[in-house]
Amino acid sequence: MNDAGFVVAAWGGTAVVLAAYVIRIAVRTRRAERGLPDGDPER
Amino acid sequence: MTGGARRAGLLGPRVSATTGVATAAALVALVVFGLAIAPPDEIQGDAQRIMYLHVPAAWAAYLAFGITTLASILYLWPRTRSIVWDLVAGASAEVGVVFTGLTLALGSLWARPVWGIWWAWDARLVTTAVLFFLYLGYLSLRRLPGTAESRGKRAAIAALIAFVDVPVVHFSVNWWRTLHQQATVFNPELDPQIHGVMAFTLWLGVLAFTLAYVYLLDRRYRLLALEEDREERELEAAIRARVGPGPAGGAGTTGTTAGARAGVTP
Repeated sequence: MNDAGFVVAAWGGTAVVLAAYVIRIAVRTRRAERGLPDGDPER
Repeated sequence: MTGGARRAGLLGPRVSATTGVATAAALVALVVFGLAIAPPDEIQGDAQRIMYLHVPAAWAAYLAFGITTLASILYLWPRTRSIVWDLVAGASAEVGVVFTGLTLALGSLWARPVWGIWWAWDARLVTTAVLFFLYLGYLSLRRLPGTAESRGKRAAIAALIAFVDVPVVHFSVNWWRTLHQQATVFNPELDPQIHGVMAFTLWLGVLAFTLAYVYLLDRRYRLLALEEDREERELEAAIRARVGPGPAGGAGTTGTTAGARAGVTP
């Protein structure tokens, strides 16, 4: 992999991680607002 | 702060939405400057563009763990003790773990082209990995069963212990001979060793990740508050179902909630 590949992996990976985290919080918040458990089997 | 106010989040709906928009705009600007406008490094070439994410992610992790520590102190201090500080500490620690994970992954992706390796048992890298696992442990500790007060106290003490590693991470490049370069901006002389549009892009990254931290903290705090309220309601319903409504229509169960709570998790 050349330099551009590492740069794309870093920037793309960061975007995916941050977006996934925001979506996960939003989904769990929506469930919590409706009084539903968050789907975690431990809870 | 009441349960209703807690559920609104730390910033309130309007400020939170504004922060989200500002975060998105700052991140878009960072992409433009980091990938298109800032020139490639004379020695490292395009691989150096990873710095515009790696350094801000590390900064955001420091900030998150600093806020966790501050909130933990405010929780432990009897005059300021409030469940709000416990929730702020838990929310900030989780966001900090995400940014620390990003810092490690981005560092590895940067190390491979410029050092020729993915990982080294270097003081900066190892202390950062230790930081990551310390706060993972902190988040695990918060999930142990117990009353809200016992959870808050043990988590706050653990947060104070974990934070000891933050200055060790930052000064590790000065204290030991390391493969990792010394601080470019926050060096002992406070003399940034970076110039022009590259410096501007780095500061833009710090701003974007700071805004992202504030936005994520607010959203994560709100989720914790909602879950806390739901668990309180479920516990009160369980107590009512077990002991019956009683002569006061069940009002007496409210006072027993805090002491009877068990299995509280963030």
